Amino acid sequence: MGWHNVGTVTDEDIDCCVRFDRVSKQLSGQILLDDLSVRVPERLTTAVIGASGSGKSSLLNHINGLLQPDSGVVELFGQPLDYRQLSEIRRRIGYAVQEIGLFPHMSVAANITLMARLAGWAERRIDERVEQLLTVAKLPRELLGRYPGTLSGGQQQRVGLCRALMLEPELLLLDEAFSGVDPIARQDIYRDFIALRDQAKCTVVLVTHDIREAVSLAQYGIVLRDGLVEQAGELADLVRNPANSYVESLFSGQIP
Amino acid sequence: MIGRGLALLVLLSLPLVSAAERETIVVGTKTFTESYVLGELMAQVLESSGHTVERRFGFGGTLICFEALRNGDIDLYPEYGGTIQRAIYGGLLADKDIARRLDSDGLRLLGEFGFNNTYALAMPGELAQRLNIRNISDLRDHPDLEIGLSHEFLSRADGWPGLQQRYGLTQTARGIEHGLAYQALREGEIQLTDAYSTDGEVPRYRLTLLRDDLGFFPRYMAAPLVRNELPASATQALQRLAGILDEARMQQLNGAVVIEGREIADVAADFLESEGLLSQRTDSASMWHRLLRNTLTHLQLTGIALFLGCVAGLLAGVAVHRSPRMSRAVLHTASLIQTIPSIALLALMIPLLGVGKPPAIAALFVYSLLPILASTVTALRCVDPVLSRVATALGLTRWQQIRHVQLPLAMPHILSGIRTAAVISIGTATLAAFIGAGGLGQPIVTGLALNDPALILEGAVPAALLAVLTELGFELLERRLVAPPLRTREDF
Repeated sequence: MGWHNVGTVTDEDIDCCVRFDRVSKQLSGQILLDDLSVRVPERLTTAVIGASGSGKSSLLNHINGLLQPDSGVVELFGQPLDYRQLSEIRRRIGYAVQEIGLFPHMSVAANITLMARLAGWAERRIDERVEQLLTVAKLPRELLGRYPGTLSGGQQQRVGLCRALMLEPELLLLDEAFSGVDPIARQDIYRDFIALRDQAKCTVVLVTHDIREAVSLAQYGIVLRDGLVEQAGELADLVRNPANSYVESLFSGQIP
Repeated sequence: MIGRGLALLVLLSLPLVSAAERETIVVGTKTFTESYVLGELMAQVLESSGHTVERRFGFGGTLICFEALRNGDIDLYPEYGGTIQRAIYGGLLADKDIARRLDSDGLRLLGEFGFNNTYALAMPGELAQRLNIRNISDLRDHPDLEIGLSHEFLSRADGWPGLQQRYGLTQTARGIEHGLAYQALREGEIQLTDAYSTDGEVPRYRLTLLRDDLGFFPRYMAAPLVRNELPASATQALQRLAGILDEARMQQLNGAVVIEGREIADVAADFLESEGLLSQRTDSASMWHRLLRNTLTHLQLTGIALFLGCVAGLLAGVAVHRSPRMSRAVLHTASLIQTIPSIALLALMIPLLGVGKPPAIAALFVYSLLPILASTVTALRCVDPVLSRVATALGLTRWQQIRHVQLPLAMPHILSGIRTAAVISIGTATLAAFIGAGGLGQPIVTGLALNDPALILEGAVPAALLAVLTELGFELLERRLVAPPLRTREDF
């Protein structure tokens, strides 16, 4: 079932946060996922790696129910995903994307706190959480009253991460979230992201086409090609023992 | 916000409700001078005998006025025997049959005022002399005559079509507002028009009335046409007007209004006083009072229609915007309705809702719907799909997305749609006076009928001012409802 050679971590002994069991999905005649089975280990950062069109964003969008499988089961937090309860489930999942998608009509503060307010958090709890996030993300408080359109790209990306982490999610999904950041600023945002992640202690699934980013941020890797898993396992293991020439070519020359 | 809107709606509806449970007698008229004068005479006689009277003058046409009476929207109006016989019941009925037909409609004619205001064809005296035209049959020798006729005369069976047939006339006639016809005659734009034998302009413009040598026109004896349930005290008061006016006196009263430009209420009061029929003069409403009342009515009509338009337009827009096919269907339907001429739409509402404010509000509502609906659907469809995806993924419910993301982002566009609807409504509402809804169209309709530019301005200027104020009001509203980054001006 496309589950190869996982080295020290086998599919039996990991606590898994997300499990795909023979998931297939077609959209307007195009195969996105092809009978795909895979697991995402809990409390680790998993990089979903692949060329564009490999199905990596589709995989991510199945986790929070933006896409529903034609067949197969998506399991989340130990239970099959309940598509009637998506709003509740999504509040336990942070989400940040390459386009960032900050709401332009809301201040930075409103963007970050929107979900907490809708969830009925007390003002004091909101303040404390915002303070915590800003400190870790190295965002000055003065930005709170400004509108997203007046921020730099890096600042917007950090605000997007703060918004995704506001409700202390158990799972954080990142869809090419750092691709828009210029290469010079990227090391800084990687560092701040790691700080945020370690503070949040949540599982992370990040989709990327950038092997260097995967290696910098993730411990676990899933390599996708044409809607199929080429190899999944600890990243170090993927690098050392590629299952095939495709995986090998992906990682060649990418070891720091 | 919704609560405040409802409160506003209730407030705006109050006068509607109180008008429905009135004990006052409602007097109607059509839109020409004599009808106004007779309506005012009847109103003052009723007031003088202790009744409370509401004047709903200026219904745009015989059938609208008659329909209003039959529906009970008005209690009486002045009508002519010939008109009832030919235009309303569409046939040659004996007087007895007419009385029976009226009675089955719950109506009856009171005693005639005494004059016969028959239709006549009028042309400038010199021209008639030069062309040697004295009788209507002489017109056969002048097929190139420029003829402009009032719209009603042009279409009713006892008007131009029948006349053409009886006399074998071949000229084509065009429609012209009756109040403007005399001016058009004087300026040579037309050479012949329909007139009433009691028109005050006939002597003033030195017009010749052509003799009806084949006896086509019936007698048009004017009388109050009233609902049967009118209290006896009211009919007794009205009977005092029977037989007090002959053609010359009616011409005189009409002339006093049209030519001397006197207030109808004063002309009527002077006449009634001279006849000893007025115990005390009621003060006619001052211009400012009238202006205030008309403006409030106007705001009420447009306000209710716009509020309903906003509610329906926003709800429908939100409901359909996700489906391209539904959006298209709804937008096409709305634009189709928009192409119905407003005066026709108003008239179409009469069989459904009678006359007065409800049909006017319904028509204005229908008109305001398209701009609001179109802007809502377009604006919602234009919201960046990334933002919608992010909002979904963050766990906002469908309603929360609409409320916190889509609507605020679409707000500038939606507001401009509502602004367009508001300005259109304010303009179109001036036409509502034709179906008895009042408002700032009232002085315009009356002014048009009396050829009184001052009266027309009394409606047109405030209506234009209202439109300008509305524009300003929406700019303020934009400041409150639109987030600074989305505003059109860079003032944040």
